[in-house]
This record gives sequence, C-alpha cells and structure tokens, in this order.
Amino acid sequence: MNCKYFQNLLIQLSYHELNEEKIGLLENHLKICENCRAELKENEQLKVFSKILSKSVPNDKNQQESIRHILKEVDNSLSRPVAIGNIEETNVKNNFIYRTFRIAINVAAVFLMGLFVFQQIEIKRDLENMHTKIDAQGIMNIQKKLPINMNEFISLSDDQVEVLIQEYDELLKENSAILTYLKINYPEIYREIQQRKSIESNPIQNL
Amino acid sequence: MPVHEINSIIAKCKEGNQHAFAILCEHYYTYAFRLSFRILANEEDAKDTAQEAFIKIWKHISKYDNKAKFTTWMYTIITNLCIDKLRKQKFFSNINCEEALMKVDLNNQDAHYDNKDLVEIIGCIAKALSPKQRVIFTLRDLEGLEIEEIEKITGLPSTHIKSNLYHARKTIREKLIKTYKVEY
Repeated sequence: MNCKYFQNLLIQLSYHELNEEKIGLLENHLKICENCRAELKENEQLKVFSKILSKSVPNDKNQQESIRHILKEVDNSLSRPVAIGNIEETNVKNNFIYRTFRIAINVAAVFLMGLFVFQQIEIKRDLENMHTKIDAQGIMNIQKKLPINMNEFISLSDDQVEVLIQEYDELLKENSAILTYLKINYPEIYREIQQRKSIESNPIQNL
Repeated sequence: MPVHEINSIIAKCKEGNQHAFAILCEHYYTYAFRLSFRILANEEDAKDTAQEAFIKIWKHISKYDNKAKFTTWMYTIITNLCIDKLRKQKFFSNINCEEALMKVDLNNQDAHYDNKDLVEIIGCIAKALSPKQRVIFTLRDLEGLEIEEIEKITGLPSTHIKSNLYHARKTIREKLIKTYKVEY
C-alpha cells in the first residue's frame, strides 16, 4: 500500500473516524514515512480550524423580528392547515375571522343563486302570462281576421286593409300584448300595418 | 427539548395551532439560521433561508412523520433551499482569503468570531468547494452530524459523502497550509 492510500486514512484518523484495524495499519506506516507524519500534523491544523469554526456560532441579531415575520407569513398563508376542533385560546381570534369570512362568502353565494333563480321564475311567469292573455283573448281573433302571410296581405284591397287596421286597433285596445305577438310572429305584416296606419293618419306627409 | 415534548408540539402544529408553531420557531430558529449561514456564508441570505424554511415547515408539517428526527427533516429542507440559493449566489469576489484566514487564531480554540468575520472566513473556504462539498463539510465538520444522518439529509450514499468530505477537507487543508505557511 502506498502513501496515497494512507493520506485518506490520515484525515479520517484526525477526526476519529477509523476502526482499530486501520489505525494499526496506519500507525505502522507512520513509523516509516516522514511525509505522512508531516501530513498528519497538517491535518491536526485542519481539525483545530474546523473546531474553532464549529464553536463560533453565528447568530441572527434580529431573531425575534425574524420569528415574528415567519409567524405573520404563516398567519397570512392560505394553505395553512385548519384546526376543526381543539382550538387553543390564542387561535380563537384567527379561526373566528376565518370562519366568519367563509360563512359570509357562502351566504353571499346562496343569495346570488337565489336571486338568479327568482329572476328566472319571474321571467318565465311573465312570459306565461303574456301567452295566456294572447291565447285567451287575441290569437284566435288575429288568426281569423289577419291574413297569415304577406302575399295574402298584399292581395287585400284597400277597403279590406282599412277594415283590417280598424280591427287591429280594436284588438290592441282589448289587449296590448297582441302587438308583441304580431311583432314576433308576423313581423312583415306588423310593419306593413304600421306603415299603412301612419299613411292614413298623416296623409299630407306622404304626398 | 425532550423528544416527546417536540412530538407533542408538532402534533399541535399539525392541528393548526400557531401558538405551538411559535414555540417550535423559538426553539429551532437558531439551528436553522446557523446551518444556513454556514452553508451560504451570507447573513441576509441565511436569514431569508431560515424564514423560508420555517414557512415551508408549517405548510408541510402534516407530511412529517416521527420516524426521523425533526432536526433531520428540518436540515433537509434547509439544505435544499441553500443549494438552490448557492446556484444563484455571487459573492466573495472582494474577500482577501489570506487575510480572512489569518484572523483565525489556531492557538486559541476558545476564540469567538462575529458574523462579519465568519462571513469572510467561511466564504473564503466555501468558494474553493463545490456546493455539495460545502454542504457535506458543514454538516459533518461544523454541525458535527453523523454520516448516517447526512445520508438521510442529502440522500447521498455514505461512500459519496465520505469522498466529498475527503476532497473538501483536503482543499481546506491546502488553503490553510498556503495561508499559515506551515513548515514541518
């Protein structure tokens, strides 16, 4: 075995990391090798150096401030584990705020959901009412008295149209929802009637 | 602090008890700062790392099982954070290594050095070592941990640790020889 092998052991010897068997081997080698003896002394210096450094403990002068910072961060952390039971006195405040906040969010969500559902029901009810009124009071009349398509409407004579407009007015007086019904289901007729109606009421404007 | 007491505090931390966590911080902050400082050789970085480590500990406390020592788990977190920081760190360019090492009085083993001196001394030896060697040297020779514990912290096999330790010690020894011009 050469010096290179023992150099590794020398450092370990300084740090008391060798077993007895290896210590014996090394001691025999040291008796005959001056270089390794010198290296052993160098290793002792290294050991002293490490020891001094390990004894000099660096300290954070603002340790309390650092700990406060950690605790503040922890407090703000959303991913902290939440204690469901066994809440300590110091924790009551934080848990109370957290729980209150959660309850408030849930209540707001339920309220908005309820509002949405209520609005939908209202809209549906209004539509149903409108259709009911139209069905009950107007649709039959409209279908009887109005032509169902534009061609038939155009083919009507002026007198017929005049009668139609009068009937239309009467129908409107009976139920204003018919106007909406006409507008949606017979847009062309609705526009035509409106146009003819305006010509009739303002003949000078259309000269 | 006895093991059963630590385990009891950790159990409370797992339940979300911040008061228990405050006790844990008070007790272990010094250890965390000391290790970070010795690896990073920078006071501000060490402080940041120690704080970061405790926030991480709080977030992941539920993952800690009592099989390993708490300090081993904590050192693992700190070591990983330090290695991340070392990769980004730029430092020591203006340190005169010989002057810094000469501050260490090898004849006075009871001498105490302040943070400023330690930054220079540790910084000087650290820049000659690889991050892995720095971590292993710090854990073994400055913190005095056993090889088995370093294995758990670093996840490296003992042969790897011993080899890195040997090279780290050799490098530092050469620096010391150069500085003190030891003649035998």
